[in-house]
Amino acid sequence: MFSDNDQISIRQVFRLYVFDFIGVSTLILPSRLSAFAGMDGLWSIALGGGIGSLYLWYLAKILQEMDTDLVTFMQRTLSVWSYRLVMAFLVLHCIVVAGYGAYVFADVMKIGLVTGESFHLLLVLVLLVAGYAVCGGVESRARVYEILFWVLFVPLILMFLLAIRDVELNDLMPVCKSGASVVTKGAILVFDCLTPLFLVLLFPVYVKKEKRKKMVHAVLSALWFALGVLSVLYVILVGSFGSNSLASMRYPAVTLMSSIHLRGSFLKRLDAFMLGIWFFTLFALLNVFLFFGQQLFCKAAGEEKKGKRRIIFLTVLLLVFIAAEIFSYTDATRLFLNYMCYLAAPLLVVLPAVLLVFGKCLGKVGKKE
Amino acid sequence: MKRNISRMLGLLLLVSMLGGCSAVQLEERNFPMLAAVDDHGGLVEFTYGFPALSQKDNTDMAEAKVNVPMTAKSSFSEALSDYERQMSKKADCNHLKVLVLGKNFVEERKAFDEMLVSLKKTELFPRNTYVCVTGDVESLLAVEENLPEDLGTYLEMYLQNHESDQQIKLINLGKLLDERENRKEAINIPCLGVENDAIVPEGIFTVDFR
Repeated sequence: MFSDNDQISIRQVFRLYVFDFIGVSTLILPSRLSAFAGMDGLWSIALGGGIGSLYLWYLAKILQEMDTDLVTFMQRTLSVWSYRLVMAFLVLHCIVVAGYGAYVFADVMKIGLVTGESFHLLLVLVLLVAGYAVCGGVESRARVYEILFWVLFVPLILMFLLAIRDVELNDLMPVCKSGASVVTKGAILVFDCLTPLFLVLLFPVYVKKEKRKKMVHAVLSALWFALGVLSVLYVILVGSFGSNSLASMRYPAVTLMSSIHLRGSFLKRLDAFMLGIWFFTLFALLNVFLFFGQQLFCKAAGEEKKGKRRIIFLTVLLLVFIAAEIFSYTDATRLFLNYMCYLAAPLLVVLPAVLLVFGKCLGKVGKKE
Repeated sequence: MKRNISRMLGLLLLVSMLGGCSAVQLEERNFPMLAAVDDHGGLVEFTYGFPALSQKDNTDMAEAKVNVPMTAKSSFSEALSDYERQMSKKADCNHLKVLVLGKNFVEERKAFDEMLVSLKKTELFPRNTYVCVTGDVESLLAVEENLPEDLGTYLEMYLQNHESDQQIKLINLGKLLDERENRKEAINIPCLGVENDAIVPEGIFTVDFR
């Protein structure tokens, strides 16, 4: 019934990216943005989306010039050691993001569903399930998220409609009070949460060559869809809790879902069901970075044998566990955003251009070995 | 095959070792429906209100030892800890319906503020717990004897019904905690009294956080 060629459709790319963008951004950004921008956080979201779109356009141009995925291009152009150095950074980045995703996932589960349960136990279970999902390959995950898309987003829209009743217009004021520097600071935070965009350079292997242009459009649509959800959620959160109170919350979206007053025996527990959207989105983020972390590690080590690939996968899983544990003993979100802002995001912006220029200087762009 | 089984057993062992801090079992918890806080002579008094447990899980109330007398300590946190120390089971407040505050306690702004800070930090009570104020907490709690159900459930229904006929504007704990942070407006908390062993609305009690 289904093809098994390790390729996914454009619609699946769109839905996978929506899940990747929504998880962390809707959980951590509202409280951070409201802390310094108040209602003007909405402008930060729009500007962050603009920067993200420019970044995607830039990546699409690089992809066009490279005419292949990033790893194959690096194999052609870089020396062994420089190739391994860049790959080490990319693997490390995948491990850090997957570790943060796993930490937030286990933390939200602990707070929202099984208060009092051991965080370490939850983390191990989450990683085991994620490991199992990654073993299924990109195709099976894409199919699952394709099906889950409307199952999760229709109830979310319903919850948003119900939550609008509690919005107080008074709390949405003042608007346009913050300066350009504040809005820009917020936009950088938003952009930091959009860096899964970088994976566009690794995705061509999983999409048919003639559909690469459509793939970029699908990612752009996913970006603005996710930012649309974030914007609506942000307005509801500011209007329901007020800026100051919102700034002091850990996961305000989860708090909102549990605060919405629902009547009726089935709908009454819809709030618990809605936690599912964050479980699935965080799971998607964890999976995608775990998957690419493993793939890049295998390619960097030049291992194609199944047995050794398995050892590499377990090593990546263990490193993700360690990263999540480190996050659990620190101010995780601050540490993650600092990492993204000062190290990962600048490198992810500069690296593709540097690699392309380097490849052009060597005259290896567009040539196949 | 043997190798796979030993791997699975190793994994299970690892998982069971990580589960050291497991959740409290259902039968080791009880479920307060109401919490009441008052101020008496500079001491903060605290008590929970429980449902008739025999209806919920066939547990005898005396056996569960939920009839702990109101505790009185210098702060809300201390009074709450003292109360929970005397209970034989852990209080699971996820089903809490109403938080009853004594007028004296709310007027004692330092103690009231300490309670809000504590509840914000611990997230002990659900944000959608209704809040009401009364001049005499003990009289209100005594009404339970004449009710067909526990006071928490009764007050929840009472407040909702009187909101629909516009005698009361409902307020929940979440809104109270938010306004303490936002400091934008005054909050009107519904005020209840007791007349002839029946609960009656007594207007509103305003708390100004600005």
